[in-house]
Order: sequence, then C-alpha cells, then structure tokens
Amino acid sequence: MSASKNHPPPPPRQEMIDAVAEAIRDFEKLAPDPEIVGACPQLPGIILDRVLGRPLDRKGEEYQATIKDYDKIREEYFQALVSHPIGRTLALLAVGPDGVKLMEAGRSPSTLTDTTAPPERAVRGRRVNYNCHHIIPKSVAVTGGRAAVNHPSNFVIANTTRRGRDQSQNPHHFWHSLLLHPQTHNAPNAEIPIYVVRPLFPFYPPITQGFKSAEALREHLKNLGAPPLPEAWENRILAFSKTTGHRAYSVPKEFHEITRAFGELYSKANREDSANTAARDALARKVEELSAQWLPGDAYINGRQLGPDHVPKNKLPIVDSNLTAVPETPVPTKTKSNRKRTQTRMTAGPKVGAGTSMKV
Amino acid sequence: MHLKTELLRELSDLFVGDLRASQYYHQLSPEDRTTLENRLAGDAARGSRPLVPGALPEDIERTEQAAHDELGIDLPTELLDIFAEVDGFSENGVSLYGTDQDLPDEQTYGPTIVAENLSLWSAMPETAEKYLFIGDSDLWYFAFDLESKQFVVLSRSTLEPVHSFGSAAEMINDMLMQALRINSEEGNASPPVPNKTVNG
Repeated sequence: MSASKNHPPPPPRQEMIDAVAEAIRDFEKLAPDPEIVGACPQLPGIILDRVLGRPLDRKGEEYQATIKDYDKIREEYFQALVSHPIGRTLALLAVGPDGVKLMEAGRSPSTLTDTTAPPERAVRGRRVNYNCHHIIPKSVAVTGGRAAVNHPSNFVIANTTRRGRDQSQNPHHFWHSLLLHPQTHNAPNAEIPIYVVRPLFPFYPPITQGFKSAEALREHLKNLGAPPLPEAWENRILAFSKTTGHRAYSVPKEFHEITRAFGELYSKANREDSANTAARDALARKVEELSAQWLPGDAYINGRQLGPDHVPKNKLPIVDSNLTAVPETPVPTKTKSNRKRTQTRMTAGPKVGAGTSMKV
Repeated sequence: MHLKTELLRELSDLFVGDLRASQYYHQLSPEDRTTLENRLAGDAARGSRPLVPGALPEDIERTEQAAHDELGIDLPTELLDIFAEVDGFSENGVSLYGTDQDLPDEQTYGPTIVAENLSLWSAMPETAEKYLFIGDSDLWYFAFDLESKQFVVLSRSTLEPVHSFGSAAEMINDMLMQALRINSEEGNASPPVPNKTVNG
C-alpha cells in the first residue's frame, strides 16, 4: 500500500487558512444576536438560508469540477479549521481532543466511545462519527459558482453517527430528508429559491454536553487546554445549551418517524405491485406534508411551489446570507504544482455584498 | 475481482493505532487495557482483523432474512460473502453498512444495511426498491441497482448514478481506498454509467 496517505500530510496552504478565517467571520456575521440560536427549539442553532440557484447539469463540467475540487481540498480544510484559534476551540467542544487529532491529520473527526463485546464476538469499536457536508448542495448553481460552493463558509462538519435504527445522532440525515431533498427533487430547471439548512456553527451539534454558565464553559475549555472563546461565541454556545436543556443534542423523536415510515407502509400486506405503489405514493405525500410545515410559500417541494397563501407551522429563522457571492478568499484548486505551497498569499478580490439580513 | 485483504489489514492497523492513541484507551484501568489488548491479540490469532472483523454466520443469516421480510429483496450473494470478511466500517466519512445484529440500538456498532435502507427509502421514496444502499460518504451513495444488478455509485446530492463497478468487491475496494485516502485517480477504471435517472 505504498500510495496510502496515513502519514503526516503537508500543512494547509495559506489560501485555505485565509478562507477558514473568512468562514469564521461569516459565521459571526450570520447571527449577531445569540437569541436566534434558540428561535426554533426543534432545530437549535439552525437557520434557513434563502439562496437563488438552479440545478446544475449533472453531467456538465461545472458539477464534475465542483466534486473533484472538493475532494482535493477536504483534508486541507480539516487541517486549516483546527489551526484557526476559534476553529480549534470549537472543534475541541464539538469533537473532542481525539477528533482534533484526526483533523490535524486531514481525517474526518470521530471519537471512540466503547469497545466492549461479548466473549463470543470479536472486539469492535463504537464511535461517534462526523462528516463534512456542503450547506448549499454541490448540485445547485449559484452566483459565486464553485468558489462559493467549495468554500469553508459553505461547509459544516455534522454528526452522522448511526446505530442500527437509531438516527437520533444523525442531524444531517434529518435536515436532508426533511428540508433539502424535497426541494431539489424534481426541481424545475430554472433559477428557484432554495432554503438551505445553515447551522450557526462550523460543527453540529456544537457541544457534547451542556453548560449552564460562561464559567462552566471556560472551566471545561481550560481542562481541554484551550483558551476561552470570544464573548460572542460563548453566548452562542450557551444559547445552544439552554435550548437543548443543557443536555447533549438529539434529533427530536417525532422526526424519527420519517425514517421508519417505509417499514410501516411496506408491510407484507402491501407487497402486491398496486398496493406497493400506493404505499410509496402515500409516503412521498407524508414527507412533502412534513417538509411544508417548515418551508415558506415560495419554496418548491417535489417540483411544486407551495404558494403565497402557505404559512409554515414551524418558524425557523430565515436569512439571505449572500454567502453565494464570490468569497473574499476563494480556495484555489489544488494542483500538483501548488499542493505544497503554504506561504504564498492569493490576492483577495473584492467581497461582493457581505451583508446579512434576517427574518424570523 | 476479489476484496483486497491488504486494504482491510491497513484499515485494521489504522483503527488499532487510533484506539491506542485515544482518550478512551488512556482512561481505561491498567487491567481493562490489558484485557482489551489480550482480546485483540486473540482475535488476530483466530484470523480476524482486529477491530475490523467479519460478521458471524448467524448475523449474516439474520440480515438476509430481515432484508427479505422488511425490504422485500434478496441480498446479493456477493455482498453476503463480503460481510463474512468485513462487517461494515466507518472511516474518514466513508461508511460500509454492516449486518443487522440482534443488539439494542445503543449497542450497535454503526450503520446497518436493513436499517439504513428503511431510513433512506423512507426519506427518498423514489429510491425504494430501485437501489439497495450499501454504504455512503459525504459525496456518494454506494448502491446495488436492483434492476440492472450492477453495483453503482450515486451522487449524494442528485441521486444520479455516476459510476458502475463490475463486482461488489471492486466497489468495496474503492470505498476502502477512499476511507484510507489512497489516490485512485490513475487506477480507477470504473466505466461511466449510461444515461439513467431516478424517476420520482
């Protein structure tokens, strides 16, 4: 296995370090008021970001290039995020020291929690796993193009732990199935509003335990060997903790139903083709109805716009973040010739509209 | 194409290295640490790759039956053979789903194939009975096309097939290389999938 990369990777390029710094600033601008974190208790620390985009031609050059570029910069992003002072402290809170070590090595964070196994079985590790995901999907074309989609401002490292049928530690699946997939599935081939799920933290959930006070948070960070966070981040973390009742976050139980619905509908009695088709249609309608409870009237679900009279049952804060504009520090494609550069600074272009407006 | 056992060995070595560097390991009592090391050595002596074991025959049988009862499909024989070699893994954002063991959820080791397919088919009904999902990463779903009987890679965001593989082993070798961050650009000869979309 001579090609293995499990040796220390080169340090991240200066462009990536700058891009991560820009992303942290963007996070700070997104919600200056920490109260926004708890505006929707079912989805703490989440806002809907309204972007205008059109589905990319999946066989087109832009889509293919976006995927290839992302694949090349992913490990460098992990490294750069934990080299940023705030990024590192947020990483320690969210994925712990083991996760930080893995990120330094360019790997997705995870934490080993248990290895117990009955004597008749081989030992295995139970781990909490995290994946990096795009906030604006790679398949959506936006103004800033690849530079905006493959920018750290558009990434979130989310818990994706699954244990059999338990999806309670997999918020990304929840966001994708409830809010994102219904909007992009059968979407018209035109520029439409898409409400993407934008966490207010680079990691989700941002904490693995509750903190009732700034002192408790600072003490915890001290024990981890980390400096205190700036006050704005402290307040945001404390607001998240308060919203989750100072406990570790779990996807609300009622939304697990969606992940079991097929099993219930697809019973043996429904095995005949006609019954099965009806069951699948019923399920699709069920998912659509649930999604509509969260999305505003100009959103599309399964190709149909909800309409001006639609009022969502749940009130998630909505922003026009403008993060789809060309980033101030775009991350250049990693090529063999520039892969090891760490010092050369890329000339920053003008930022196009960094302002954020928010509606709740 | 066979499963490259050297990749599984490398994954096992990586996991063992991670274990020994972890806070979990360092917080074990000396006795518990010794017990764990002895069990890992015992697993290796029995021919199992430490921390990346194959599934027990009864777990494979149970999963085969659950797939039949709950998903209405027969699992591909090739996949059952692979479960005997490796009962799933999650590394660096890449997950191969394992067998559905007779364990409470909180004791389950990771994503399992019947549970994941129930979940994904529920969330994306247009994929139900079209694809058997076998694994995922932040970019891809790894699946078995139940109609064409091909092992395919689907774009995670569009659900469109982007590659097909000649066998389950070839696809899982590719997943292992992605998990281990082994550059496969030069060696990836997966043919593009012909024009084909998931119908809603």
